Amino acid sequence: MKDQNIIKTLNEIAEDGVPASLDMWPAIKDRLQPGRPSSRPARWMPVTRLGRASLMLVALLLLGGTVYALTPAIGQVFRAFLPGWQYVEESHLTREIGLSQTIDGVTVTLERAYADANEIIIGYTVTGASEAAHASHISLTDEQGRVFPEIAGAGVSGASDLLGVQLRPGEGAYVSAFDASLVEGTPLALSLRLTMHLVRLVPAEQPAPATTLPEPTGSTVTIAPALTMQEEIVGGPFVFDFNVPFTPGQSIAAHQTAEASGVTMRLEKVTIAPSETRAILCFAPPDGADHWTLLATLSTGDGQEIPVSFVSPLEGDGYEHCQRASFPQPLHDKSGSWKLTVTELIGTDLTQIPTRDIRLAGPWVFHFYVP
Amino acid sequence: MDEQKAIARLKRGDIKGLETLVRKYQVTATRAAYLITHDRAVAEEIVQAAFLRAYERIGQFDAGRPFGPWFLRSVVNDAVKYVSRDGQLISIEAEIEAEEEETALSDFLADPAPGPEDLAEAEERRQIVWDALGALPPQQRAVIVMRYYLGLSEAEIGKHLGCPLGTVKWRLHAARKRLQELLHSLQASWETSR
Repeated sequence: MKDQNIIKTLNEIAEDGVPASLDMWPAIKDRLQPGRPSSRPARWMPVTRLGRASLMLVALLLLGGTVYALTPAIGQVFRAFLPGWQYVEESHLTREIGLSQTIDGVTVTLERAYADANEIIIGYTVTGASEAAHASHISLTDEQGRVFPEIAGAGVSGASDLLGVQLRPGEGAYVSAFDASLVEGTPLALSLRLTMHLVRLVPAEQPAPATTLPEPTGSTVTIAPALTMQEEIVGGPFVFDFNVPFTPGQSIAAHQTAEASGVTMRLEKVTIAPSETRAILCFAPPDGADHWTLLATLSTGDGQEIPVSFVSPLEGDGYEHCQRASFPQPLHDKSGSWKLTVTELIGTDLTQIPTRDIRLAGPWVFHFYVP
Repeated sequence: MDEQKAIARLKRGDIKGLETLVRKYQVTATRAAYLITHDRAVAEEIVQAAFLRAYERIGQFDAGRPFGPWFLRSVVNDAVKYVSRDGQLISIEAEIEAEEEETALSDFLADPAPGPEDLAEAEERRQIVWDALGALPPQQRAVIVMRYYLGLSEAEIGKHLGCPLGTVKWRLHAARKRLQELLHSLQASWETSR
């Protein structure tokens, strides 16, 4: 019976604070924003490592599907593309931000954000655009003025059975990821500023000229580029100031070297965080190619073998000739003896048409222990 | 519409099913979140977001299970995360003196006396408990709310939190002890200030 007093008091506090007449259904119904089915084909942007490349829109032929509202579509984008993003979303690690700005009838809402030692991931939605505009010229900075480079993006507009969304014209849900390796130490939270303009892709007025190349047989081949698209600014700048909790990763300072095919490669460090595991590999590139990538496999202590998903060059002092190898799975709960095996280096001479590849066989093998 | 039918409709994408679930659980869920976050607006936002998430993920929900515990677990977890991330604690400046003899929490909370003349005392009691609850760390706050407001058994709390029964017992013991210390301290502060 004694516990009944505690129960009674807590109930009294709860009833005082939240009346039984509470009705949140109208607000929830508004947020669902059920819309008419759209006959527009779905467009979604694949995840790419951007670097200097632009985002490409890929048209899907899928129609129909269950009606889903705009805000849940963000969750679908988080879940559909990368395992690390899916983990972050489903583990409720993102912080709901809910900041909106409207310019010229176009509303951008910064829905949620997440930050760890490898990535800062933001999800945002767009409504009211005349076409499904996406954001470009995105910049993410912190209070110290550091600029976090954008490294990946994905999004959806229209209808998609694949993602289970059906958005109205002018609506889109997008996720962008930024390289967080500039963050120093282990702050509790990051104070960030996100700036973006709204753009849409339109056909270029002057398509690139066709190129004629000689063939070994003596004939010629004409290469006519596909229709060239260019970005047209439709709104902005949208500016959002927000805080996001920071999840520190586990950093393994490997400092190991391995040699194969006459190339000495150094594993600088491995950073393990919920969004991805990232290895920094450095080597002096052989002559004959100006762009290098690699194939690699990461073996965790429990025997899981994970192929590398993205490789991109690092920029900045001290990181010349270094590559960022990303394994976008949530491995932060794994420990033990790990092994990183680089099986091949692939160099491309981009000045040559057609391009030439140089392939150097490995393996370059690195062992390290994850506590 | 009963809950099973509501879930079946929701799985087919009919938001009428969600309306039934909202109307059934909104008050309990918001009150539980309110007791943990100490902020009604935040509590409502947490519960709304949880309903929206349930709507998105209803496809993954096993209709053979009861919806309420699954949903309330999500709400409690989000409320704890909110409090943890914002470091929201109400500081108690008075010194806490440890009691040699552990007294049941409810011994401190005197039986509510009947009559309007005790309304002021009841209000005081609620304020003291409210302040003490706010001073608990988020996880301890959550087990107190789950045990004494949501009425869950220790085994059920363990299922909610995904931890063994022994851990739940320890957390509940630690939460009760801490709450008891805070209640005593706050009671002393109230009496001194009057």
